[in-house]
Amino acid sequence: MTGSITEVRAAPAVRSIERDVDPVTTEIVRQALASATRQMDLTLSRSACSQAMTESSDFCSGLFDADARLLVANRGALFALSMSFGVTAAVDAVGGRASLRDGDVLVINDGFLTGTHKNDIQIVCPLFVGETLLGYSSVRAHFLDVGGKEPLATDTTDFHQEGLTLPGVYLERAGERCDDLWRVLLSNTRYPREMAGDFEAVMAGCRAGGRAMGRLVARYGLDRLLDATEHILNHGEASMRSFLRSVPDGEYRADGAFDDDGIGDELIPFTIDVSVQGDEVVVDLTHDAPPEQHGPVNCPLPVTVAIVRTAIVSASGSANLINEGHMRPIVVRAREGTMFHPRTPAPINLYGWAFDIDFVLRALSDVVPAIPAGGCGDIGATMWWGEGDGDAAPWAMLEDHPGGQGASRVADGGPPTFPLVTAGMRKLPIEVWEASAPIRVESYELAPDSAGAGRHRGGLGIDVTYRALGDCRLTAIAERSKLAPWGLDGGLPGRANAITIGYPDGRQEHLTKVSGLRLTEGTTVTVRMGGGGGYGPPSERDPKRIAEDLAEGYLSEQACMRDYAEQAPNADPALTEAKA
Amino acid sequence: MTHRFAVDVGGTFTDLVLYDDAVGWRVEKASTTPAAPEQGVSDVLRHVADEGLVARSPLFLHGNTVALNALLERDGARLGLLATRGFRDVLEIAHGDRGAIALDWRPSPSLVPRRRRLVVTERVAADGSVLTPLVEADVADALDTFRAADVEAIAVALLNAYANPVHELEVERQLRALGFDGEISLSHRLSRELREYERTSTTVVDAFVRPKVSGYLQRLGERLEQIDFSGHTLLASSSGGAMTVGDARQRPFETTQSGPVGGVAGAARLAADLGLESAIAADLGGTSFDACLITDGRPRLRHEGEVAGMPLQIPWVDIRSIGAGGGSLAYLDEGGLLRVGPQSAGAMPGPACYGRGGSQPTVTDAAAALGMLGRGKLAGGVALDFAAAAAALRTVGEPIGMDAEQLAQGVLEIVTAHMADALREVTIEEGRDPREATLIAFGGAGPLFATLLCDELDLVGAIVPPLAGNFSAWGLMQQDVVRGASRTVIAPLEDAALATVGSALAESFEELLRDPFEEGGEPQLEATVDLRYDSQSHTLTVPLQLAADGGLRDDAGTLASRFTEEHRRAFGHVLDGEAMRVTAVRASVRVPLPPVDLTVTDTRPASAPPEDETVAFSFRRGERCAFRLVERAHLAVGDRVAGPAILTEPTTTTYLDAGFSAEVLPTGALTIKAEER
Repeated sequence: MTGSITEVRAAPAVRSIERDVDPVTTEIVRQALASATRQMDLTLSRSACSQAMTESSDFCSGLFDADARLLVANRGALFALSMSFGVTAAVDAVGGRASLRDGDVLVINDGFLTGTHKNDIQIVCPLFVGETLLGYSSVRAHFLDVGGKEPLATDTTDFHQEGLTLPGVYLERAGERCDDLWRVLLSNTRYPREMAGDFEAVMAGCRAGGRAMGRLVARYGLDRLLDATEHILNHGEASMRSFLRSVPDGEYRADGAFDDDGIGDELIPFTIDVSVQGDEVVVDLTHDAPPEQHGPVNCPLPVTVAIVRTAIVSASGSANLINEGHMRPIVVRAREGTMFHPRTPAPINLYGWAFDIDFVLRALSDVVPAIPAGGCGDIGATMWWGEGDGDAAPWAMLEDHPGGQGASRVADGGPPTFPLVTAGMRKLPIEVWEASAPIRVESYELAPDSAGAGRHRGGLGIDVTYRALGDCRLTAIAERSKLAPWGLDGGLPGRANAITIGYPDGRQEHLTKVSGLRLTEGTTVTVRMGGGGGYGPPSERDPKRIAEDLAEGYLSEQACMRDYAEQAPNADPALTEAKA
Repeated sequence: MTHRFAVDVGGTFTDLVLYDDAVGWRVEKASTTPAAPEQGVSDVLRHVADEGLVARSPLFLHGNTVALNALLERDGARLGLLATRGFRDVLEIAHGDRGAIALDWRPSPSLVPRRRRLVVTERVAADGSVLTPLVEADVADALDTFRAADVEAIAVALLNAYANPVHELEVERQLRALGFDGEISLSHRLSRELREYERTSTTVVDAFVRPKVSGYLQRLGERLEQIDFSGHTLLASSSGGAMTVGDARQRPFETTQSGPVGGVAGAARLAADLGLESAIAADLGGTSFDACLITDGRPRLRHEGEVAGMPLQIPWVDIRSIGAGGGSLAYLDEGGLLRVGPQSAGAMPGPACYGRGGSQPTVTDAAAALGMLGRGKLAGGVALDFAAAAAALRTVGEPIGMDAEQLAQGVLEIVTAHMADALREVTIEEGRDPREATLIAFGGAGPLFATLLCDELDLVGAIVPPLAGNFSAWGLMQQDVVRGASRTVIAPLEDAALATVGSALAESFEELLRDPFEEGGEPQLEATVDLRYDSQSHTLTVPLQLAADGGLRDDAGTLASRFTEEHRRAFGHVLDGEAMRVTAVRASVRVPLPPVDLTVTDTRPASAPPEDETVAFSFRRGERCAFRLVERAHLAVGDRVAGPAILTEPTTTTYLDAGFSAEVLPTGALTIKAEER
């Protein structure tokens, strides 16, 4: 391990504030910016084409100041907290701020610069007030396909197998579409119609943000607005520091592991060191960090940073209106040449999915009471595609799955949800699936006994089975299929994630990651999303709650005898009563 | 000849508005009786019943919160839910999304626990074909379990039943054959649209509120009979029209938004009457601010509603709520920023200036401290405690170096900005420019903010309606009777495929006209179609041109250009060369009630209004100055008041900042205009 260590901090306060602090204007502008990003979200999601954007909300809108500092993002934590890297890189790539013009639209998807894979294209629109650069309106969104060996390949060995790279280029220059680039883009996707419509929607979203910023300038004047935004960032910083002061000083550690690198089958263990001192936190990923991996699980530095930030911001409870200021007290250390700071052309298509937020939270779980036990991890995704019937266009569907969440100190895990990293996503309606693609959903139910037992049990996972009604292809990705969602404080682990293919000849195949698998008619694909870990020893569970779980069918008799033998329901008449 | 009356049951008061040719307008109030709302209705009607005004009226329009409260309090029928095998947990898995980026986020529990969610073997495909026939024994088994669990009503929501309801109907037939005599709700009768979670939720809500609503309607009918009312009762529906009692018994879930729609219906009527192309109904009460866009005299509709996190797949007046109101609390957050709401002081203790023990400052305290509420004599004999308001404001202001006066200004500016953001969102989302809209401000605190919102949003003007404190009841009287039905129809936008649209329309109209309308004029047929680009997912709704018999007059070309125009307006771009697709057809039948003459009688009192003034803070001037103090009851049609002025009436206060003027319209509404900036 010879690479140098990089230490990443968020941009500091840069502007000296001319006037006295005006808490009223600050709060008004802060809420108006949040409102602006909601308008961006809505404009985009209502006019986009691919279901990743319209149904699953796999995108994030943000507004930035002229120094590329995030002023506000409402949701989409992982994108939100790495988008400032994308803005900076895109602007640098075209020659810096001085080269920008009003009406420019920049696009970038180089994951070493943005953090996430190439499907996540970030659009950056500089905003001007006269000659002055006010800031940027920007959206990062998951596009259905950007070329590459397959849509969303899980077994690439090189960055260049992962599709078209946009290193930060003009899509529009001073309001004029760059037709050459446009044709390049549409020639490098398997779904040009969707890409074209999605680009228009994303740009419409950015324009909505630009107009909202324009209204703020008109209302407050440039100087007053800039003072307010500086205060907003300082406020974010103060909120975060106030949280960190409530965490006892100390050195905390968690061990985590990736299932595999997408090609081989070997577990990849890693360690996270978290040091809290006063009102700062340092998350150090240099200790025995895994080297750059052969498969696409490498996490480019921007996403490594974003994962840490998302975890800390979530733990602080202030994740819903985030800005660059929140990130100032968070320091991330990673070593170049490791999985957490790979060098081009290392493959990154699965980027940070494996290194998920839960492990950073786990390190702090002894000292931050709000942190729950382990959940099902952050991914159980499928991408399906096939040829259309007759004249019909080729089809493609991307579907991720919610899963069990960990129990907390005060309650059982709730119904299955998407994890923090994809908090805004929604599952596709089954009836939309069946009306859109030659796929039948055979079942989609809670998985009894999948939750980790405990004083508070985890949330249940789900079992979903799809059947291909014709020949098609599948990419599937499951993580945390080897390391089950952990319990805390004596709680038991939940069920791990799993994907099983059932071939028409009766053969079954279990897998964690597969790319472009050819499915023939009648093949079934079963996704089993894991359950959350329990909190506290199972022996301390209230027998009434056990009886209720039995009555609801969340828990079977066998699992009950196994996990809660001490409170055997038959021994207690109160239980039989509650069951009825 | 017009006689009619309306009663709106609110959280605190049950309001009556009555119009009678002989006596003109009457307004009454009684306390709401939450356990038995018909009591409050009966109480308020007794004020006028003795004069024979109820007995001779042919029409009673009513808004209530029976269904809404049943859902909010989760107090409804004990339900069983039948689903397709493999899909027992549609209700609990929902969308799988998180409502917030929070470590331990969880939705409220499902209305039907898993033990009473059972499955039957059957399967229909998306194209409506039957893949697996219904297994009868499963229905019998499920019924045994339901009976053992004392289930009162059964909701049936099978997969793809929107495309073919054969198995839902078969389940119902069997449940009846097996002797089940409770209520049964079938998903396809409520919605013929795809999305199983939304349709299941709708069905469950329907079954859940059914006994409450029908019991209430029964008891209400008896009360009305006791006071010799023999006319027709119409209930406000969530889609913004009135529905007959018969319809409400059939589709009780459509009354879930029966309360809030009254004010919007009134605002829509005023907007139509004044010929406003674009208006925003803005209702500010104690805890929430409700905003709704009105275009060409019609409230904006969505195709999905929501109550307490439960989606309803029905047309829904698009009222957006934010947690801002007179009771919203001001506080400093952990980062030292001044924040207002969404937490509220509620009815108890309420604002500090109400003297009921509140010590945290609220929006009302800020307004009181600035003199905006005049001398502070409110309805019900409440006299404001100005010293308590100032003391509460100081507790928050001192740590950031603001005195009570400065903090109060800040609180009002922040809450105004919150409301302005919400208003901007409802207009901009629809591709409308908020600056071209007229604000219609009502509710206890709405008129206080009318001029502040005009400045914040650069609006052309505002309207403060007549009877602003009873405006929801007034609005109920202005509705048409409406029935609606939607169907999922997925087809390319081509002339050949429009036949499917035409037949779906014909079926819908036949269904809508099957039961006769008891009241009103000739039914008017209206329809819209949901369209999208082939590669898109969300749709835009565009109107269809119909012949008198409901037949389709549009061809694919006219629809395509209508869609393209709407798309450009809403999003600023179009997708050239992309084909279009129909996804749903929505039919409605509207029966207008005879119009009520909006002109209020000239109420000019015998004597001229007394000259009076007070000192209050002017936001435009940035300082305190003299405000004229006028009782609204002293103003007659055509009278004009120039700001700075404060107009008082028993249930609300209109704050007219310097540079604004207000004029009394023939309807009794005040029209507020900015004279200068």
